Amino acid sequence: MPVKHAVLGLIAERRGYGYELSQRLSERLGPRLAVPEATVHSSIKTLKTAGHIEVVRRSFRGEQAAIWYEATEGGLEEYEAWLDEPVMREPVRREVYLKFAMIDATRVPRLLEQFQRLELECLAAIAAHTRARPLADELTDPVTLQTAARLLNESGALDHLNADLMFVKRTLGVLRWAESEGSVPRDKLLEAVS
Amino acid sequence: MSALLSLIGVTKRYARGVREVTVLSDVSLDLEAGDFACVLAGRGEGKTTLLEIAAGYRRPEEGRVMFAGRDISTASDRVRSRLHRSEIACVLNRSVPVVHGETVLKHVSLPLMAGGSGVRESQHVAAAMIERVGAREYIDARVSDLADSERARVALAQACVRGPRLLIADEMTDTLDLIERSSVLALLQGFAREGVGILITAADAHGAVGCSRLLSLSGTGLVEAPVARSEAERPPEDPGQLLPFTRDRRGGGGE
Repeated sequence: MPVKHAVLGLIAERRGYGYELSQRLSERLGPRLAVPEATVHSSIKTLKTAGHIEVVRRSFRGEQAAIWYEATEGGLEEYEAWLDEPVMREPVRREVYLKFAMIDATRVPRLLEQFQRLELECLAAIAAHTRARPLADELTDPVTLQTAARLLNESGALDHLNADLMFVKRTLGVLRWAESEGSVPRDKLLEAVS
Repeated sequence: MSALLSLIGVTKRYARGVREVTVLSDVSLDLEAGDFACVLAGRGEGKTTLLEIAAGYRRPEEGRVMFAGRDISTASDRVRSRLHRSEIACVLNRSVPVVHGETVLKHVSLPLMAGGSGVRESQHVAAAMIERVGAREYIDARVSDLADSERARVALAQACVRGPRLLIADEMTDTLDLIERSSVLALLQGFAREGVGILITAADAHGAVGCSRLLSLSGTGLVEAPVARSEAERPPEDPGQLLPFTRDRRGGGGE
C-alpha cells in the first residue's frame, strides 16, 4: 500500500518525526492496515528527496536523535493534488481507505463526490456481471467442470463487488451525515459498521 | 410513448418519534414494458417503501406515480384496487398469506375466480401457470406446508396468473439458495421477455442476476448502473480480482 501521501498529509497537518509519524499513522488506519515503521521512514526519505518535506529541527532524547520535518509549499500542493485524484474502484481496500483515514471536515464534499462516483462504478461492474451470467435454465445438467469453474469465479467476483458496493454505500451514509451535520450521530455510525 | 411505470420526483417521509425521517427524496424512475429492473438495497434503506409506492399501495408526499399514463398516486382506492386485480401484480411479502388448508391450485386460482371466472376455467388456467413456474409437483399440497422456495414459486404463479403488465416483487429471492434463486430469476426473466415490466428488490448482487437494469437506493435517492450497449455486455476485466473469461454461447464451452 503506497503510504507516502498519507505520511505527507500527517506532516502537512503538523510537523513530526519518524517514530511519532508512524504512531499517528497507526492511530488513523487501525490495526487492519498496519504499516511497519520502516515503511514510514522509507516514505519520509522519498518525500525528502522529492522536496515535499524539509528538516526543520533536530532534537535528542538521550542518545536518540529525532529529525523533525515540515511540508514545503510543493509538498502541500502535492498532497492536495493526491486528494483530488480520482480513486479507482479496484483498490477500494487500499487507497480509498487511506484517503478516508486522512479525512477532515473540509474534505468531506470532495470525498463524497469521489465515493458517489465509486458507487456508480461498482454498480456498473455488478450490472455487467449480472447481465452476462447465465441463469439456471441456460445450463445443462450436469455442467462441465470448466463451466462450473467459470461460474464459481464469477460468483466470487460478484461477492467482491457486492462487498465493495456495501462499503461504499455505508461510507456515503456517514459522509452525508458529516456533510449535513458536521458530525456523525453515534447510532448512525454503529448502524453503518455493525 | 409513455413508460409503463413512471415515478416522478417521489418523496416519502415518515414520523419516527418526534422526528420526521425522509425515506425517499425526489426519486424518479421510468420502467418500460419488458424491462427487468432490480433495486439493490440493504435493510432499512427504503426499498419496500419504494415498491409500495410504485405499486400504488402508498401515496408519496410529493411527486407522482404514473402507470400506463395514469396517475395512480392520486387515483381513488377503487381504481387502484381494480389495477391490483388485473394489471399490477405484487409479491410484496415473501411469506404468502394463506387460508388454512388451501391448496396450491386453489390459491393460484383465487385471483381468477375473484375476477369472475368459473371454477373449472380458473383452475385450468391456474394449473398451466403452476406448471410454468415449476410447481406442478405440489399442486395439491397445502400452501402452508410448503418450503420457502416452493412458496416463492406459488406466489409468482398467483401474481402472474391474470397476465399482469407490471410485476413488483420485494426480496423475493433473498432467502433462497443459489439454485432456487437462479431458477426464480429465470422465471422472472421469462415473463419480462414476454413484455411484462418487472421491478424487484434484492439485498445483494446475486439477486440481480439476469436483470436488464440495475439500480441502487443510495441515501434517499436512486442511482442506476449505466446500460452497456457494446458487444455482448461482457464483464470488464478486473486484474487482481477477476479471472477474465469469454462467454461462449455457441456451445464451444460445453453447455
